[in-house]
Amino acid sequence: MIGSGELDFTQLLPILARADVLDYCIEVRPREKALQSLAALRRMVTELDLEEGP
Amino acid sequence: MFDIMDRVSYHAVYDDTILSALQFAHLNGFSGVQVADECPHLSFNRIGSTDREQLKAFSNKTGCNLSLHAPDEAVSFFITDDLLLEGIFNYYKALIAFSVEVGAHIITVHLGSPVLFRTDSIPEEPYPQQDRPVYHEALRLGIDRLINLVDGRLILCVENYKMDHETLQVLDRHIGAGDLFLCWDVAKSRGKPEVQEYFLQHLDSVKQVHLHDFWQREGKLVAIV
Repeated sequence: MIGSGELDFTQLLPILARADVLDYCIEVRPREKALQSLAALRRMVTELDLEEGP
Repeated sequence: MFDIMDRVSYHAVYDDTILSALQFAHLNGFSGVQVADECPHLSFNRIGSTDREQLKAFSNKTGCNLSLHAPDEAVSFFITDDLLLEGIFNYYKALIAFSVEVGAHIITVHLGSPVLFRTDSIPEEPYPQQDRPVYHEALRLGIDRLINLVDGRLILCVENYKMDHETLQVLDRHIGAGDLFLCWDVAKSRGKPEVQEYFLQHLDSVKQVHLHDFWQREGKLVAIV
């Protein structure tokens, strides 16, 4: 699940936010875990104040 | 300006149908789904015209996006046999036609990799060096051919899975040209500084990101989660 491992999303997300990414696909399975990852991602984006992209 | 959270999809693998995946996405705050076309039960070739119309209608009505992920090694760009290539590109042609028909916006492909062999003393020997230019040319021609098939009707993304110095060299003449884009699976680029650096330098071409996490121990990948 997003945020449960070693990837530093707090460093990654601000970098990605500078790009015009059309699709952030959560590749966490099954979909119930993807849904939990969506919530985790939303918390990170909010905490990092990244709601608005370029 | 856009909200990142308006662009978050999930990977449809265990869903019964593509339509039910889109419905789940819509109900739960995802912007769409990426369909794993390597799963036979989700393969576009099994979807009839009525269901295709339903997919397009649902997507149009809700704004839920559909993207398709082509199978991995089965449609590798390191295949060099003409007869096999004919089948592979017939597959791509049909995949693109389906995507256009239902209004999908992205197709994502892996490049594949050369076949590796073992010797009596080396567990995994790189491919025979005399094949190196053959693979290089196969990749170059394959990418050109796929770009021509897409013909600007979709966003064509190549994922970094198994990318290396050689493949980046081949891709480079298209990246930034507007006919080929990047899909960055960040977890899979761990331990590959050249690939990471390339993606960072070409952020404008990154149109899709695969998000998941990973665990490693002593520098070796334990699990992608």
